[in-house]
Amino acid sequence: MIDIINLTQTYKSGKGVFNLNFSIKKGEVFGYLGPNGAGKTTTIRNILGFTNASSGEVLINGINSRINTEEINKSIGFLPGEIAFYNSLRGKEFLDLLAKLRNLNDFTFRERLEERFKLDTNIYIKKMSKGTKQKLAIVAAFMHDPEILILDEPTSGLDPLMQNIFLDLIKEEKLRGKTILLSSHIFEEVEKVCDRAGIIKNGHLVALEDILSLKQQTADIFEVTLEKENNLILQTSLKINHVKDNIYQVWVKHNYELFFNELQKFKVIKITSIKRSIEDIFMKYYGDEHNE
Amino acid sequence: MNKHLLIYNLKSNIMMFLSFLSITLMYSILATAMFNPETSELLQQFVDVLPQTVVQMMGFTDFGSELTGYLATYLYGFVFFIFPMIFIVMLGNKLIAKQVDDSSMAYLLTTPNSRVKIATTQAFTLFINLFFLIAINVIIIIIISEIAFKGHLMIGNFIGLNFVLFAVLTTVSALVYLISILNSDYGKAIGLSSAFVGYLFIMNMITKLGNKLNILRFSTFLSLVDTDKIFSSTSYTLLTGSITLVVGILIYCLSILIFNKKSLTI
Repeated sequence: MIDIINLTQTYKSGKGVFNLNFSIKKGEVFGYLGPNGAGKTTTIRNILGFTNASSGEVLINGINSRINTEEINKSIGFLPGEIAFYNSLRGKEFLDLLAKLRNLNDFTFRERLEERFKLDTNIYIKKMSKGTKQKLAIVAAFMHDPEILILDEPTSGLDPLMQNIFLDLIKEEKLRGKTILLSSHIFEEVEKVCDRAGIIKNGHLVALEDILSLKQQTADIFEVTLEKENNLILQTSLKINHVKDNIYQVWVKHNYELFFNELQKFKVIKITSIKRSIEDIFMKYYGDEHNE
Repeated sequence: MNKHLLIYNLKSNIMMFLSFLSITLMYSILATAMFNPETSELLQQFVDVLPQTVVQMMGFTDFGSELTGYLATYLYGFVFFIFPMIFIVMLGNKLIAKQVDDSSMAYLLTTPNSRVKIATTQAFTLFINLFFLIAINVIIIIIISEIAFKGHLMIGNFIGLNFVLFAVLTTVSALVYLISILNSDYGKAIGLSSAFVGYLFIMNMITKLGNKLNILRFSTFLSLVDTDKIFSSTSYTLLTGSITLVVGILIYCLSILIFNKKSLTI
């Protein structure tokens, strides 16, 4: 549904994205991971046809997104990473304007979303908190019930409760067959809702895999509590990190025999498994001293 | 063009429009009301006492005893250039450069409306605001003149003068719009367009200083609003006005095409 073909966009600073190739299938939720400045927003600008790529192209339903933007925009909902609204308007007036620009007459979905996110649209946008603005941006992106959703860091500024409401919304929309690109540097949310993820580093796509196989590639992490602090454990051949006092974190990847053999030498009083997250996978690509 | 966006634009800029309308109307009403064939001689005597350079730069060279010439001298050398041009700089940049700079343009460009349509609506907003600013002033001046000094205003000449003025200001607005499109940095766009209209305005004032400097009239197209020529030649008025207006509209079209091709970092 979205095909990114040999996409290169270089800026004067030397940054940008380089020879990106990936596709997002219809009905798929695709996580796009990378830290700030890695090239996520640059990719999104090309998907939406804002920028002129240095080379390559983005096709949406087979149509070039830079040339036929007007046609493509009929089926797109966009949530920008850096949100700027018309501050002199009330939330309601802003949504009304967007609805008119989209020739949208059916407001039921919009009303449901406002209710769900507990968004008061009577407030002037300039008086809204960052979280409220984010909710407004979510409603603006979803209210016309588009086929494709391009969401740039959608949960930033939302409190944990609202983040969960948002992730539930993504799951529901996925069931309704929507195609979603969700860019993020919060790995947990990608893990929760995405089918596949692409990881971008310094403008290069360094991984493109199913969430499941990405998870399998990572080490299991255990928090090991010793009876008392004993840093001799750090000298074993385990991948280990001293958390604090008598608590240590151990990375285990297939080598359980070594793990048990080494731990036998110490007085262990507690072992807890720590939930693996995309963050650990991510660390693999960004380099982390404990995971190499 | 998108009518919903146009309505939003007109509404959201109404306060700015009304501010500039009230300033210019205040000058128009005062100037017209102050007209008196006898006292204009007095005014002339007063002006004669002032340093000639200042008088010439302000364009107050000849008040005469005829209302049209009096208004042309009083309003069309200074007031009707400076205020509309400040208005153009503020509005022209708010419609494009500001929205590209703060990325709010992203919302407009992800609706099913082409860039050409969005940019045409923004351009038309600027054009129509300028039109109403001039037109309302013209109508009010004509009404006051007809009530207070029936027959003194040569309406044909006066409308001709305003036609050329509007055409010239349209070209100024088109160039400011072009600057706004070429510069994605709002501050830079405001700076460049202010410098540009400032240059046009100052050169026009210097041009009036004397015959020797008359050659400088080619350095600013504001000098096309030449009251003597407009009042004496209908063909000058029609030709200059029409050509300038067409040039302005062509610059608008060019700006819209550039915006369509531009790579926007929003």
